[in-house]
Formats: sequence, structure tokens, C-alpha cells
Amino acid sequence: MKMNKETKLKVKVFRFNPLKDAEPHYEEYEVPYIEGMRVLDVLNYIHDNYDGSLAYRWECRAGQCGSCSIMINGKAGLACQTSVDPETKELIIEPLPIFPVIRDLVVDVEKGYKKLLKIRPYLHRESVSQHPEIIYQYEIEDIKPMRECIECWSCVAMCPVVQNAWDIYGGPIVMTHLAKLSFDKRNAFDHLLTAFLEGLYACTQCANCKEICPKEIDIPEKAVGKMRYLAYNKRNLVRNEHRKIVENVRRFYNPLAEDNNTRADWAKDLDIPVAKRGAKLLYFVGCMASWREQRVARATATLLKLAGENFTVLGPYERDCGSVFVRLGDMELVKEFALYMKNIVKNYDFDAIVTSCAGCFRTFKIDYLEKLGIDLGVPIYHSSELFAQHIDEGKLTLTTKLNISATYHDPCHLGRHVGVFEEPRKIIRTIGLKFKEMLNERYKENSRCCGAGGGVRSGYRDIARDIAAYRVENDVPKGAKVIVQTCPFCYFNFEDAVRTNNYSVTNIDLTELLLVSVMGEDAIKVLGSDRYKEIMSLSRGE
Amino acid sequence: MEKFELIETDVLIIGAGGTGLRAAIEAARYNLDVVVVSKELLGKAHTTMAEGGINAALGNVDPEDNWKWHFLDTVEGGAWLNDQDLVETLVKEAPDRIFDLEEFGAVFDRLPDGKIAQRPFGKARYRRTCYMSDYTGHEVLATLVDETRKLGVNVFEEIFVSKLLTSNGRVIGAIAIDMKNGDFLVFKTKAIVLSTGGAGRMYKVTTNPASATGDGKILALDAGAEVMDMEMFQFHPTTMVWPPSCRGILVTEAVRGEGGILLNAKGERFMKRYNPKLMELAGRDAVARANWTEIMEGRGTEHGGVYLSVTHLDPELVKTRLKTMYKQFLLAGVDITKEPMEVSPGAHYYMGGVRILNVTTETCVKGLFAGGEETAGVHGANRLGGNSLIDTQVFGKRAGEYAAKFAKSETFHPIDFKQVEEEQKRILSIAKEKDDKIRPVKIREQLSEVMWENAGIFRDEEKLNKALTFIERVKKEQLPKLGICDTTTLRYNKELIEALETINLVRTSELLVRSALIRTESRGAHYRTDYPQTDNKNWLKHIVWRLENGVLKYRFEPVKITIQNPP
Repeated sequence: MKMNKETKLKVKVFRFNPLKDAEPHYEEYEVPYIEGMRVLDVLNYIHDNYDGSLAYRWECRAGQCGSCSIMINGKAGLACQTSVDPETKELIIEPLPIFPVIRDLVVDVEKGYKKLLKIRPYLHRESVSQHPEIIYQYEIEDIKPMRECIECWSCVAMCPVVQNAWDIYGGPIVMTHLAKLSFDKRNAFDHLLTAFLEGLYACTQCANCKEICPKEIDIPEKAVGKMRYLAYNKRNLVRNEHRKIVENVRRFYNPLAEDNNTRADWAKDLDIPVAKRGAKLLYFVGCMASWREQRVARATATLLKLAGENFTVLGPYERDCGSVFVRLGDMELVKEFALYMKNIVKNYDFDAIVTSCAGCFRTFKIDYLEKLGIDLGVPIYHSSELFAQHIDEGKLTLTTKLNISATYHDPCHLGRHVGVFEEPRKIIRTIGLKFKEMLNERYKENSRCCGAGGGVRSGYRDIARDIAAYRVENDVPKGAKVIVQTCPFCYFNFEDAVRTNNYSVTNIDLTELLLVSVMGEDAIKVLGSDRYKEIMSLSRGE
Repeated sequence: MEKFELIETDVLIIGAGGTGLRAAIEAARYNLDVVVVSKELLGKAHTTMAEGGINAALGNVDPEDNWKWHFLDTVEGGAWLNDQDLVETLVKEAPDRIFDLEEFGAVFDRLPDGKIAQRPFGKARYRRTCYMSDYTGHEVLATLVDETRKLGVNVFEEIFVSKLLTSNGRVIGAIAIDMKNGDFLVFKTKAIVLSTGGAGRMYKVTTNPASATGDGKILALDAGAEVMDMEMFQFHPTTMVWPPSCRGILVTEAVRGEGGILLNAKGERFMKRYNPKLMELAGRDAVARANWTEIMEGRGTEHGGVYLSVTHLDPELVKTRLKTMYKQFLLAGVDITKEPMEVSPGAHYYMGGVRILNVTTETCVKGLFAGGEETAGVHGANRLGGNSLIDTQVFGKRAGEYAAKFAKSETFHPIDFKQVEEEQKRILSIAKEKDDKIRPVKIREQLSEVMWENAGIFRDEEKLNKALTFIERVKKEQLPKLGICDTTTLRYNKELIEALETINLVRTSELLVRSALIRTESRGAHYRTDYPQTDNKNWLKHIVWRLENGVLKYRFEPVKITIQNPP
């Protein structure tokens, strides 16, 4: 790549002096691009050449001090560590949200400090130790990444729980500090208890913080996940709501306390194979689609049939994926469920598994493998991946174009965690939806969590719902009538927010839309005439 | 007089890096009010950028090591310009300061037997450098931040101190601007610790952060203290050259400590021509000159550097022990496990600074103490890698201790509000609307270019005179017109602070250039091509500056040789 002096960047910068301005405004600048340019260079150029009054922080320009964290096209990050893409149409630079603005891009992080100081973020020794102290390398391996935090506050700016319930949840940075102290054998203070009280179980584990952390600290897994493991297994620090869920899964093999024998009741009138020997594909329905969002299961199974898949559901033999135990840290129980799944796959000799729920998908694909070392040994698909393939191969033919203004919610477990972004969008485009991405650049890797994950829906129902409501209010583009969903769990939570707040937007699962697009009016017998009419009237723009 | 807020504190610590926070932790033990003021947010100081490690002769890897070897390495490395009483204290107290850090919660990488691991570093006879991967400075500073929080030390963030207040030869307070709202603060205090760090921003190519503008050295000078060894500025041999945005970003000495080698464009391992014995681990001064010579003589790389390669090392080792480097280059498009890095020297560390009289860190102004990169004498003419972090701990602790003891025995003195008024006037005159204003950035751009070209790695009389002429012209013609874009509000008026820093930079540069002209020999980092020899007969002395009625005067002060005579 050669230096291209011709390229000019269009940069929009947030400007606000609360002493003088009634309202913030954006100022536009043109900045010549140079190879390897970082966002900090852009700011320095503006400051040096256009306006010396632009307020922003920077110090080390090497990503080691954390001074220059700002919002860059909707994503928090260090200005000095963010490369500028010369192809980018417009660079939008804003201060970190959550904190009050002092001036322009400079925010007052005082509130964050207060949260941090509250947890006593320092080592408490019982007595003065003998030196040299003997500490083995393996004893510091868990602490080391946590100690890398440079307090740039980017994680806090991106955290959906902080946005809605900072009083309940201290935030990613607080969890990082608590983890560093909880894992330190020298520490005499009970920081694990503090973590429990600071909302250890209120993290949705959406991993937005990990995504943008300049030090790549795996806060959801290595801080929150590990602390939950310790809290749950070693200290019995669990919320009552979660205790109940665990009890449900133990007794009923599902967290909803439903009779597991009714798992395939949704399929009764549809002629769907249940526990069929000789089937090659397992459709793992999951708890939400089995009982709460049955249209998803009905649509998915019907589409699989139409595509000619030799598949089966397990019906009463389907047990929980164990996701809830993974999120709570009950690894013993997850193992039971994982081994059961492995056994099923072996016994039935399945070639592949397809799921409706992004949670089951991630659990099979990542958690069994990484946390338990259990490999189910077959490819695992999310339904959107499989159906996109079916459309490509001509196994599903679309008859009805749906002309609906819609946006799409990337479930964390499907998108950011596993990287499935394109397949759902491909289907959305194919069925003809007038598609717009979520606003504020909150899509794909930068999608904002619905709020239900990580046990938050079961532990803090109101917070989960508020987060979904926040997403609807802030990110859904004007004119979008439908939020396309690909995870029944997100769906369920969004639906709660929409109903509670009387939003005019409608949640529809991608499989429902695809089904109507494939079957036309015949979809009535699968989705019911009300739902069919609803979709068609949306398509007519009513 | 403009409005100001008056704050009373027994001890005022200016600067919140390794030295300042260590001083605060120490002073807090004396049941006194301690306030730390920081130009940046807490934890963002330059200490956090130290990478390779921190020296202490623990003898964990090489049992033969002890303080005497550490002493000898330090004064040899410093080209015998170190004050040996300071060095003795540094090396003897180093192990205890490491243990303090551990006590506060720091974590260092370990040996299989559970003791702290130590890696080889430039010009050290034994493996002596303790480390946490290659972000040791971050570990040290984060630990000190934790401890300050634990002790409840007051830290005022984003405060720029512009003048120390004096009365009858002692400090009694300080004037500052609270950057957040533009308010003036006046501190009334019994003792002050200066710990504002270096001044790398004098140079175009530097590893230093935005805030390294020599503030403390100028504050001390104006308060009547002395500064010395101002010609001694260390150029780190290896800093990034590409992309332009990364120019000057530090490439840690740990890269060479772990086995990295230097090559020129012809693929020749050129250090064998310069120092066949120590090769890449020769002193920083020597390696910097070697790199610069290769580049200047046309054996440089595409972007004007030399190659630093670790491709022969185990990629896993590179990714763990040199994690920061690995990521830093990856972002610039270079996988250092597969390709060599391009590096060249950059301004890194100021050995010169405030003259402290002895190991109590007191200066010749009563009540004024100083430590770390603020001061001179510890590192002589060239600092060893890993000695800076330990300097902050040993002398930070001492500065805190002796400032506290001084404050215990003293009372507050009344502030002379005329001094406050004058200083406010000086600052507000910059923030006035001017038609022919010269913005600080314009002065800095030229200054850093001139300094880099004429007062850098290789110096001679002609070049230094050129620099001096430039500086004198800036002082006469440009500084009086210094102005800023926004004169309507001082709220987070970054440019006003930059203007004040620019004055400090110009004045520091002047001291550097004048000293470099006076020292007609080559020693450590100070290399005169017109006087390439080291002259121990005439030049085992410091050049010491003070202000007399506003005029710079210098004198010589013999180097304190208490243990070992130069060969």
C-alpha cells in the first residue's frame, strides 16, 4: 500500500461546552489521510490546524495509559489504538456515554471512581509477609490478565447493564478489579462476597466489554465467569431466583418447570418426527421454543421438512442444554447434561445438530468444548445457517416477497461469540425485507445485548426488560416496523419490553418470515391465521 | 486579583507517577495531610509506559549478584558522572522497595522456585531486572494507585502547577490551574515534593507522553533551586519508525534482553563492529549511536531505521514475555514472530534535572524535595535500563519520608498574595485575545525539530549554536506573542496548558543546549563529534545552573565519588 495523499477524511466531532452551549452540536472537519493513521492523529490534526479549543485527552499514544478513550463510530476505544480506515465514509467521534461531559470529548469519570472505591480495590494482607515471598507462576496466571486493566472506562461505556442499572451492577471494570483480588491468595478480604453484592449475577455476559477492551481482558468469562464458579461452588453465593432455576432443571430437565414429556406438544398437528431412529439431523428445539415461543419451533421444523432434511426432534428425550449452569458456574451439572447429549448423538448416530436458540448453539459449540473438553463430534448449526444454505442449494423456494421495513437484532451468543452475522442477513435480503441495520452502529460485533443473557432474565427480570426497552428506544431505526429475531430467548425478552411499554414495533422470528415467504398462505396452518395476517398486513405497509 | 481556592496541606506532592505516589504513600504514614496533584488522570503518568523491568540485586537467578555489582554497573553505565552517595542508596535499598511493591500487591513474573524472575538487561553483569511481562511500569504504577486509594491519599487530578511560592528561601505553597474548570488553586503547604518527570517533548522523536514537558525542573529553578547535568539526555536505541503515527513509540530493551538482534539493511549484525563484547546489550548510549550511524551512513531500512529481530526466538516466548511489543507491532501490520521490527533511536530519559543535595532528596530550597526523573545525579551521563523504575521507588520513598519529617517540624507560612496576583496575570495574559498570536503548537513543532537536528544524539558546536540562536529568537520574538484559540473560557482549555508547557519546554531546551555547549567532551549520552574523547581529568564535574535575579548562571560542582574511582 502506498501513501495516498489525495484521500480526505470526513470527520464529525461532538462539541459541547456546558458553560456556554445550551446543546451539544457536531462540527465537521476534513482531515488528510496518511498511511497507518490512528484516530488520535485525526484529533491532533484538527487541534493543530483548525481549532485549538477542541478538548480531548491523550498521553502515551501507545495504548498503555488509557487516557484517550472515546466513542469512535459508536464503539468505545482508545483513539491512539484505533486505526483509521481510509475508505470510511464518515468518522464520528463522541465522548464516552454514561459520564457527564466536561467539555467536548472530555468526560468526568468521578462517578466511576466512586464505584471502584466502594469495592476497596486493593490487596488486604492479614499480616506483613516474609520476604522473599514464594509465589508460583501458576498462582498468578489468573490474576495477570486482570491486573492489565488501564482504567480507560471503555467497558463501562459499552455495558448494557451499566446503561440501565448501574446501581445494581458495578460494571465490567469493577468485576475486573474484584476478580484480580478474589483470585489472589495473598488477599485476606472477602472480595468474592463483595462481587456477589455488586451484581456478580447481573452481568449478561454479552462480551461487548471484551470486544472493545484495549487489553483484551476476557471479563465475561475470566472475571465474571470464574468468580461465579467460585461463588456458586465454593461459597454457595447464589441468588434465590437462580437457585429455583437450578432446582427446576434438576427436577424437570428444563428451567421452566414444564413437564418434559410435553416437549414436543407443539408438533402434534404437524407430523414432525419425534425421536426417530435413522434420522441424520437433530433439531434441538430448546426450552424457549418448546414452550414459550412455539411458533419458532413449528416454523423451523416445517422448513426442515420442506427442505427435505432427514431430521428428528427428541421430544421427551430432549433435556436442557445446560446453558443456565454454564452461566451460573455449576460445571458438575453441565457435565451431566453434556454427557447426556454426547450419548444421544452417538446412540442415534446423528450427523449434525441444528438449534433455534443462540444460547444452545453457543453452549454446544463453545462451552462444552472449552469448559468441559467435551466434543459432541458433529457440526452444530444455527437454523439461520442451515436455511441460508438451503436457499442457496434451491432446497427452499421463495414464493411470496415480504415487503416489510425491518431491522435485525444480532443475538450475542450467535453473533459476537461465534461470528454468525451474514447468514441471517442473507435470508432477510432474500425474502425481500426493506432492511436497515440498528442505529448507533449497534450491529454485528457491536450489537447491543437484549439483556436476557448470563442469567439476568431469570435473576433480574426487570433489568433484562429495561435493557431490551433501551435497545428498542435507542437503536431501532425510525420506520422499522419489525425487529427480526433469531433467538427465542432474545425474542421472549424483547416481547416483554414491547408489551410493557406499548411499543409499536413487532418482534418476528426469522423462521416465521421465511416460512411465509416459502409457503405463502399455507403458512396459516403452521403459524395460525392471526400471525399470518399480521405478517401480511405489515407487508402491505399497514 | 482573580478568584482562587485556597487549599492547606502539610505536604504537597506535584506529579503522580511512580515517584510521586511512592512519596505520598510514605508521607501518609506520618499522620499528615498529604495532597498529590497530577497533570493527568490518576494512573496515566509516564511510569505506566515503562516496559522492560525494574532492577534490584536480589540474586534470584544469578546468586553472585549483590548491591556492589549493581553499583558498579550503574556508575560505569553512567560514565562516572553519577553522584555515588545517591547510587549507593539506590542499589542498597532496591530489594526492599521491590518487596514493598509486593506488599502493596504487585505481581512479578516468577521463577520455578517461586521467587521473582530476573532478566538480563543492557550493561548489567548479572540478570537483575525484575519484570511483569513487558508492562512492568504499568504493574508498578497500578499497584501504587491501589495503595494510594487504600490509604485515602487525596489526589487532585488534571491540575497544572505553574509556580511555587517562596518566602525567605523556603517553599510555602504553589499556584495551580484546575484544568477541569479553569479555576485557580493556591496551595499553602509546609513541604513540597517535586516529581513531574522528564521533558522528552523537546524532541521531535520521543518515547515520552504529551505531559513530559520539564515542568518540575523549571518550577524548581524559579523557586531558587539548582538544576544540573542538563546536557544529559538519553536516546533510547529502539523506537518505532513506521507508520508515521507511531514514530518514537518505545520498543523495550527487553526485546534485546530476551535475545533480539540488530541488523542493518544489508543483513549484517553490525553491533559486532561497535561493541563485540556486549553486542546488543551494550549501554543505551552506545547502541543508540550505533543505530544512528548505520542509518546516517546509508545502511538503514526502507523507513529509515535498522532491523530488530526476534524471529529466531520461540514465538510463544515472544507472545508472553514481549506481549505489548507483539500487539503494538501487530496493530502496525508487522508480526514480529515472523518479520523483523524497524527501529531507530528516540529521546527517552532525562538524566539531568533538579540537584538534590544528598540522599534525603532535599534541594537547596528549604522544604523542597525532589525525586525520580525530576532529579539529576543518580544515573550520571547515561541511565541503565531498569534503573528508572527503581529510582522512583527508592527516592520516591525518601522524598516522602523527608518531606513529611520536615513538615512535622515546621509551621505554615503566610502566603504573599502579590506573588499569586503576578502569576495569575502572567497566565491570563496568554489567554487574552491577540491579533498576531502565535499558537503553542507552532513553537513546539519548530523547537522539537531544531532540537532533534542540532542537540540530539550527535552534537557539535556549530549545531548547538544554531539551536541556541533559535531558542533565543523564540524567547524574544515568539513567546511574548504566545496565544490561544479560545480566549472566552478556561474550562478544559487544553491549549492554555499547552502554552504554559511550551514555555517550560523552551526554557528546558535552553538549559540543555547551553550545558551541551559548555561540556567540551563526550560522556555517556552527551556526544560531541568535535570533542569525541571522554576527559576524566577536567570533566568529572556537573554543570550546575541557578537563576540570579532572573538571569541564568552556572558553576561547576565536582562529582561525588565515595566508593569507586574511575579507572
